[in-house]
Amino acid sequence: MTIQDILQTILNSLPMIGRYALVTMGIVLIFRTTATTNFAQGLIATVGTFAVTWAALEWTALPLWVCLLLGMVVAFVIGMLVDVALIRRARHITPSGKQMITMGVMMILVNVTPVIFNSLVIYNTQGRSFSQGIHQFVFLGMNFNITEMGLLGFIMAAVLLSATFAALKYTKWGLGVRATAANETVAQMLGVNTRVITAFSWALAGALATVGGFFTGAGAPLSVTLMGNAQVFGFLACVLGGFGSFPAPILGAVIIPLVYNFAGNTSIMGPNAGMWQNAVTFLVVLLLILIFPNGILGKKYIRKV
Amino acid sequence: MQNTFHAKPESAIRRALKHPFAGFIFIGILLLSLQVLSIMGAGFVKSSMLNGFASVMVYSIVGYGFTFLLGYAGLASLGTAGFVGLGAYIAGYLIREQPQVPYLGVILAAVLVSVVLGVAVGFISLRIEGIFLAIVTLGLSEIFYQIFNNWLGFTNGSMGSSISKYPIFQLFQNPDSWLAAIDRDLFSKLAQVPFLQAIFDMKTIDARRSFYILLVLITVGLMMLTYNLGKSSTGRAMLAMKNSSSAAQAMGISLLKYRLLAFLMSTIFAGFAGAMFMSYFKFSTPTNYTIIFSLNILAAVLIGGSKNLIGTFLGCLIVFGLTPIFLQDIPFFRDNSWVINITIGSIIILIVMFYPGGLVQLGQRFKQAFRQLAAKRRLYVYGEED
Repeated sequence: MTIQDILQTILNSLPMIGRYALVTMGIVLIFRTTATTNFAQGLIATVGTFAVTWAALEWTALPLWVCLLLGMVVAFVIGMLVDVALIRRARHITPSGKQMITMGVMMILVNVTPVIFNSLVIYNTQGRSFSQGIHQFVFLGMNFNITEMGLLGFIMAAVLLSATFAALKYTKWGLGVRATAANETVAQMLGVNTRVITAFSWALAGALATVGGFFTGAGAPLSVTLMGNAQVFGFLACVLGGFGSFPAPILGAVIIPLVYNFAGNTSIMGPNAGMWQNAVTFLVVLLLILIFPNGILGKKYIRKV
Repeated sequence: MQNTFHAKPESAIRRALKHPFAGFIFIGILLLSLQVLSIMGAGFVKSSMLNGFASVMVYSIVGYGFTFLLGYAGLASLGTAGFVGLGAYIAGYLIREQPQVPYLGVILAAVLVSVVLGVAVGFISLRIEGIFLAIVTLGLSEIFYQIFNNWLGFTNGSMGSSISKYPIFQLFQNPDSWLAAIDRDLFSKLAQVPFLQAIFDMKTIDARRSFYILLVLITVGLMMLTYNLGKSSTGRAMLAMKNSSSAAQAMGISLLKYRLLAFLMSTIFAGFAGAMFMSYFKFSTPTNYTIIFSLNILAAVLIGGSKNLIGTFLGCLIVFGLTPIFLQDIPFFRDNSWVINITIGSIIILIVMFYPGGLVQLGQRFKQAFRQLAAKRRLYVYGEED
């Protein structure tokens, strides 16, 4: 295994890092504001991605980025609806109960999506993508390549996440989110409109994840299991980084794709690497979590008796 | 004359009905009577319906273990699918590839592996708590899913693991069975005895029916066992731990012991149920054991009311049983299976949102409403009391 090989593997992880970071950001936003582990996150993103593809194929004259925006709006609305109609009314229910509600949403979305976007599922339709090309460049005298779509996805994720973090830090909404995350009741008493905060967090989570879904699915046949892995790895990223703060889970979302791509590298893991790629990744991540039970950046949680 | 009030002595039947096991036995009798009806040739009891009930029973066994974990110990796990799958595949592998192992040994192997797994997860639960634990067990389950898919020699991969004969009831049809492995002459001699033939050499349909009856007995037995354990000092210690682990520790309850025990219960029940699944359905594919399955078990237990065993059974009936038992024969639902799943999803959401106590709470509401109605009627018929 040469240095070039290592660098190329890291480069290959970039698109995945972007996608997972977007999904993870949504999960942590929702978890921090409404104490819900959202199992429907991946599915909301999937519906958004279906909407993007449908719009791109139906209205071929429309630029793709407009379609992407449309899909984001769809997921935005679904996310907001889930909060307004269900989670907001389930405040008194235990975390497992809320988890169950999102699971119910997941069950409904899994079954409704193929019915609504019937034509996309039946014909194994491929969506449009921004580019099919592969970008090649020379760095320190070594040749590297990365798909242009993946690079674009990573850049887009970086921009969107930076914008989200800036919003969290500098806007009134961000202050409200941080206050709600710290203590919802007190935030309410101090005049924060937590209903708007949580609804917008859910909506934003859906929209961000849709971008992740689009870059996962663009140029490949769509299925409702599109975001299955992203969903599970998103949760694990949150636990690995630490649920305690907003940036920490992103660290988890950077580590997991790196592990995944190194686990799939045939020159390290042998010829059957692809077969066991998922299992090895889960194993490594679980071991890391056991070493850092509070998350890598998490603080030790001291319980009051 | 003493001014004491003598209550009317309760009749034996009333007392028996009030016994906590009455409900379990009632469910058992209902399930048995369906099979009896089918044997007697009642047309409305289809074999797909009985298979549906069998799957509900198998999954409810998983549910009882999970009840212990969630309802008593307050720990959440999303690794159920992996644990059940492991039991199923171990049973499948041993029955298919190692026919000299007796059936009891197969069950024992599934249970033993589950014990190892339960201890491991129990130790993890000491380090990681709450929803994080659930996510970690979810990851564990995903590892098992990959194993089920990729370890071809053990699981036959995505083609699915299958066995050809029912264990126990078709023992004599297997020339390499453990009995033959011990003593081939004895095996052929015993296989000629008519009485033993009737039990151990059944036709496929009879074997399935017998296994169904066995499954009913096991389900009811495990319900009683779980109920008793819940009412014992173990169950009370776990309840204390659920409410406050620090207070429980201060009272001398060992977290290590009871967390391990809770996970052991859940993994053993899951592994055992997996072996039962394999024995009854004779087939299992990795797609059975995705995250959806774990979530479904959690949903079934929550719908039931998380500490109530009859509730758990009914929850499993709603989550796993609606399709094969009731809706498959209605053409509209058969052609539009998505409607069923949406219905189940909606039921889960509605029950969790409006009856957080589960079906038990719903039942109590009904009882209350009925009592109020009865009181109103009394008032109407007999007039107001003086």
